[in-house]
Amino acid sequence: MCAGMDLALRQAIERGEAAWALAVSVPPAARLAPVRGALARLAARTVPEARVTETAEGLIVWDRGEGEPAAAGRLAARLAGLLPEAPDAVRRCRLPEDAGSLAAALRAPGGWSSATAGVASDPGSEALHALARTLAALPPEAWVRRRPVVSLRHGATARPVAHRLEVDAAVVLKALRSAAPPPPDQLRLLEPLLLAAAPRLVGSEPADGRLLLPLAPEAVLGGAYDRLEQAIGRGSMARIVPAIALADAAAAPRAMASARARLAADGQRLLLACDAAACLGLLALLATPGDIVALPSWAAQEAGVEAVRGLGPQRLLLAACRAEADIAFGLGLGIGLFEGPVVEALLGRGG
Amino acid sequence: MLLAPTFGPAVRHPMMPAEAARFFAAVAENGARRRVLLLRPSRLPGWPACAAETARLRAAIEKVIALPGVVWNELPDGDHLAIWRRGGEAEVAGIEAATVHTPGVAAVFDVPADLAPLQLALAAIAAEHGHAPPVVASGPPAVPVTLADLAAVERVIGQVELIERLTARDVWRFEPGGGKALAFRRFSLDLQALLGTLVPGRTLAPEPVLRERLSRLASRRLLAQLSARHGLAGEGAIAIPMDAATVLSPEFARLDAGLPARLRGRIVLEIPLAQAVASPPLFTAAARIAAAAEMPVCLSRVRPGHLAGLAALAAPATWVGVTDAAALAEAIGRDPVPDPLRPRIVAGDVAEETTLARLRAAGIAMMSGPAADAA
Repeated sequence: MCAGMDLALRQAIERGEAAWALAVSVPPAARLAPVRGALARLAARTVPEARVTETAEGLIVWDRGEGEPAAAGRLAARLAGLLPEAPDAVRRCRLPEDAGSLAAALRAPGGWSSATAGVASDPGSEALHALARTLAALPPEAWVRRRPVVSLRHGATARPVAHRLEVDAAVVLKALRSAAPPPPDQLRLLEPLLLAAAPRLVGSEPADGRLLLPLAPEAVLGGAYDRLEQAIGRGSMARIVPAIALADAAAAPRAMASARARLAADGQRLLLACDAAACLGLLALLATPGDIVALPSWAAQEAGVEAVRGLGPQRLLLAACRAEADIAFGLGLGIGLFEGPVVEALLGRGG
Repeated sequence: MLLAPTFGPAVRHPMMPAEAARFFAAVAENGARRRVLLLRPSRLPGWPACAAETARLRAAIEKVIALPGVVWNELPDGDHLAIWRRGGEAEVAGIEAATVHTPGVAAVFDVPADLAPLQLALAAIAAEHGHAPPVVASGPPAVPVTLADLAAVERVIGQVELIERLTARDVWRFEPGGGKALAFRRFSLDLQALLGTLVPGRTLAPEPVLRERLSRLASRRLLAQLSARHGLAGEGAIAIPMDAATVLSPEFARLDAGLPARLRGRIVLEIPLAQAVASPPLFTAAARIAAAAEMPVCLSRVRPGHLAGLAALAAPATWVGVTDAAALAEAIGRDPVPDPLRPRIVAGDVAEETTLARLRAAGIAMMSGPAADAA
């Protein structure tokens, strides 16, 4: 799992040494950093004498020697059991016979980490607290990323109708002196900062622009939200759209009901954010007709046209759009709201 | 009987946690500075029959004892506090190296900078011995917990005996013929009570993200304790609260590596629905890793109204723990429950006989709660 082991494998390949190897290809959905760590630990524990090298596709577990040890066979069986959606996930190789394919795996662009937008391990509460203090001392413009949300119709010019707020990952990386951002659930610890910064940020939006603010339902009922209302005035609260994660809505139905009541009293809508096709059934149960529902483009495409139509495309925001094909997919279904890198590129080109 | 080895110099001063807490508060108030080693050798895995670890720890401690001006205090049950003025970096590093694989055995604090976490550690020790927390903290109970509080908790949670804080509830399997058998004992941890001990006067209620973080800290600590003490399972099966990311952590790998064969299949991991919704791939991977270790997963804290939308999400789980049995009994005849889920439902908090009867009639066999206990 380190550059030294990578180098050792390269040398074994170049020198034509005899070795055995298991080349493990991990499906994209299972390439999350914690899963990666667990699989590597499983490999190290099952075949303690072997070396584990990360590749763009997964792992190579290997060691010098003529014969594959029995433990490697057990590891292959266990890994196959853990990755059932990829029947060919584990490939048994030998050196020097399979030097070409193993060398290609090592040469593939981007290690596993970069291929999967690697996530750093938990920096610890102390570091996150220090990070929160650092950010709070800076003007929000220095650390808030405003992701434009556009309303698109066939043939119409794209224009932002809202901005989704998030903490700028680049600033977090710099502050933590880390090569990869903390796991998303830990970045959520910084949500109170976004809420505190909202009065200033809403002032820099166009008069009809809205801010999508990530919040837990409990936060909508808290003192900080009261202070936001006092700062911008009740009449402007319709410009704030709390973006509530589906997981939070499911975990706290009472708080969710109270939050809905408060928002309705102020004429506010809420956005319910779902991150996976597997959760669409729950999303359909928990979303109300007036909600905006955000779904990443890849999850919508995985769920399929019928499932997305069932949610009501007119209230959907297709998020994380990376290619124009994503937008075409959404427009084809009647979705009107889009967000993601391709949207930002589109705006950069003047719509 | 195996006698626990003793640590420290010949001259030791008995000290209660409350006394220690007052002493360090006075040190801080007076503008003085002290370095403190809190030593809990009973946290060594296998204590006291762990000669190699004890010898390694003793060798590191001898160097601390040799520091000029060290005062050695003995807390109840073989815990120790060594106090000296500044310095001793190499000796502290030696202690840290000797205990790197045994979290919770030793911790070093600098007073006044580390006064709060030290007081929390002393509060945890006092609570373990049935004493009131020594830190005097009064005031309104509804101050929301902060990230700073969790940073303090994180530093001392290694000192807290979580296994002793678990509360148990029996889960029964009702046979079609009318009999019942104990399926497993379901352990739960009161996170608010834990926080109340460590940071009196704080509440988790308005801070779900911080609650989630505390839950993760606790589940990691719990796994570490389970790795050292397998007795919790007794002769039957148990269910313990768990966090999906923790199942993928080194702590779980250590538990799996050391788990005796007789306990395989007898430890159920309860992962809350919110974590599965937040990251289905992570939950799926956790359930598979747990299954490979022969630890079934129960997707817990599911509400009856969620069942109709959970077929895909709950697929990797062996069991589905549903709260609010009365609402489940009302809903099960009315709302569609996906067929694959029905036999896997574990209904919690069954309080009324009529609820029990209706759930049994609907094909729910696994139940807990007063009515299930009494049936």
